[in-house]
Amino acid sequence: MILETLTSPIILFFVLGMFAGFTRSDLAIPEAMAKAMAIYLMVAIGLKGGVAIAEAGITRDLLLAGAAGVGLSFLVPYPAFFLLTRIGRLARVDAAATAAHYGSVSLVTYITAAEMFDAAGMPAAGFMVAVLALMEGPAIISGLSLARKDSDSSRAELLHEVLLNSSVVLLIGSMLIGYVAGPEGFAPIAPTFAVGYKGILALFLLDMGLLASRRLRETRTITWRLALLGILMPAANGIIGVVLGTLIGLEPGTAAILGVLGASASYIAVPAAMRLALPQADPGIYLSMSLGITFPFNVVVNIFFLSWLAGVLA
Amino acid sequence: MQLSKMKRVEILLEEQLVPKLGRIVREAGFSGHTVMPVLQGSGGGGAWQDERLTGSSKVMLLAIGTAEDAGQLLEAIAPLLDSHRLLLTIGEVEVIRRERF
Repeated sequence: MILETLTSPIILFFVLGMFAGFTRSDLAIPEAMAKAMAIYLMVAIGLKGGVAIAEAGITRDLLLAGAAGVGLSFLVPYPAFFLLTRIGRLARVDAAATAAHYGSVSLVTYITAAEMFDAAGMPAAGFMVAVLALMEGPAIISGLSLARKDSDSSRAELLHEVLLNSSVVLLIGSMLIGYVAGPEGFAPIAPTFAVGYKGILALFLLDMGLLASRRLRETRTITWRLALLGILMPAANGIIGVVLGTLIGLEPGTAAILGVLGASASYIAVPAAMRLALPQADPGIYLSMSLGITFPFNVVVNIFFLSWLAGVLA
Repeated sequence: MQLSKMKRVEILLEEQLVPKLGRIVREAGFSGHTVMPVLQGSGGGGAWQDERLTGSSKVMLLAIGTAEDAGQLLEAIAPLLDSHRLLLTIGEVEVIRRERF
């Protein structure tokens, strides 16, 4: 699978974006187009997950994986916070905001892993989209409790942001539509959301490569200690996720993707929530770590490693 | 045509903080405000640019009011300037239809 990983067009487009960013090429994806591609991918993955749940029903595996995912999202920020304050030497509020990012999940890392596991013949269960959506929010609550301060915004504003942010609405909404429509209802719109999906993902990863390299190039806040944690934390969280998935009896591809969800760090939903709830935290730290270090590490190295681990444990 | 001297307040801030800052501006006595997009820049925290995907968008909040309103706003906002990474400028402008402000 390592050769397939490194020669996959999705990964190669990501590497191209990183290269263009580091060499200061004038290549840029228009902001509106990047946003539109993100919406397309969220709808496509939500529909796919909903159809899969309609076909398989609400199974024991779905419930166990959901519980494991919510547990990981709630608990991962605590050891992350400890490491970020002790080893990373971050102030409490910066460490709490960064820890929340590591407890939450990255949609793009999930989609990339799901595509690669499919191609390698160890597909993840479609219901993991539901687990992805469930894992977005709990880490934000843990992050706020670690900051030991009341949110800067009212509880209603924060709840609104956590439960109704665009990625949660799109993911859960599309999943419900896919569930209600089922395979037959999905068929007429499949040409839009199933056929063009991989091409859009490749283009989107080109943009993610540009964003990740720009974050790294322009950051003034990342020390070598934080860079190291940006690799060690997803490596450890990923292993915990795969072991947990295997212990609760998930198929290898599904256990591996639970590991990927544990390893991934948010850079879409949580930054928006943290800017609202903990504006004192420095976005230069948490975005540079999650997008500039952890995301490339997960896409290029960790996804492959976690799938290998899931195979060995199975 | 009667021209009146007023204060024009500009605050560069992160988009998510607009509701909170809008409330503070109103409470200081300003009758309203306008939010304008900005594209990119650089400052003490490094370079930044509009990046909607990660919610990293800054905006400019503009409000026009009396010197007294501006003074009250300054008092309310001063403690937030560093912690919330705000940039605040106050300038003189002349307006017609003073009663609208």
